[in-house]
Amino acid sequence: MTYLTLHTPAGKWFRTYNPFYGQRRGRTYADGYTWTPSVDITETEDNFELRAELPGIAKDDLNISVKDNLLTLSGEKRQEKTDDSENYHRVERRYGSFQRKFALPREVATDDIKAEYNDGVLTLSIPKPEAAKPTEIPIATAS
Amino acid sequence: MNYLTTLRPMRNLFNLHNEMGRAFGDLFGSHEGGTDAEESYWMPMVDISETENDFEIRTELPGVSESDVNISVTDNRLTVKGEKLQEAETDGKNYHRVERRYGTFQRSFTLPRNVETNAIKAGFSDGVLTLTIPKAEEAKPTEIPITVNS
Repeated sequence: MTYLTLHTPAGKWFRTYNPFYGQRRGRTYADGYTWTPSVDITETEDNFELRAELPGIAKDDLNISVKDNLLTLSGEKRQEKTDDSENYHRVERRYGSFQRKFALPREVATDDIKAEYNDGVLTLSIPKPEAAKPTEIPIATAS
Repeated sequence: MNYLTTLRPMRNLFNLHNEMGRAFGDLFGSHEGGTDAEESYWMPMVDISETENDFEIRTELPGVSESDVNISVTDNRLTVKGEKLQEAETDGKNYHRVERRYGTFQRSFTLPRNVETNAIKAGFSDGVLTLTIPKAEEAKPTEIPITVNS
């Protein structure tokens, strides 16, 4: 496999098909996390790029790990608290632990993955394995 | 009215639709950032809280640059709007998955009567826009001392 794909084991479909499951406060997914960040996955000539929306998360609360070609993004989002007298009128943002897994292409050099966190967006640059890069085939003209 | 409320005409229905679309993933295609006639903008998630001295609105705007956000107050309506642009030029880039929403966004709030609209402060960090709306003196809780007749 030379593409970066989302890791969604078949059983999860049945657990997550309900739009209210795991998305409301106080509910959790079977794995113990409460929400999943939105991601974009793009591909350039040399890299796969993964951008995850993680607004308001401290860098220390963010965890990226790779095991068996499975890249796991996990962490915890905490509610900002300015002082103790704070009362909430409306809470739409999601808090608590999150997790998202991605299947990496087999040949990827995991040591070369770069991560950057800017303006609430985490960008992972995953260098493509040689096999996934386009090769040009020259056309020989028989003259 | 002494509370800060959101204005979201007919929105709940669309949101449910989005949630469903998201839960089903690619099965039925994504409905996020829909293109229906009324649905030309998306609404960021907000938290509204109140302390003794002010109201706070925290809006999630990850990947939006400060210069693309516009905050305005007309009458007693506070509007946060702007545009979220895709980070990189699409040249030589293939998208495998797009879950994030892009394009114009807007969210309006009805302000309570007793706030200082001229003193609203806005801060932006890690993709979260924080608006601090100070309460007017008369809206702050006052303590009424009990005099004991002895």
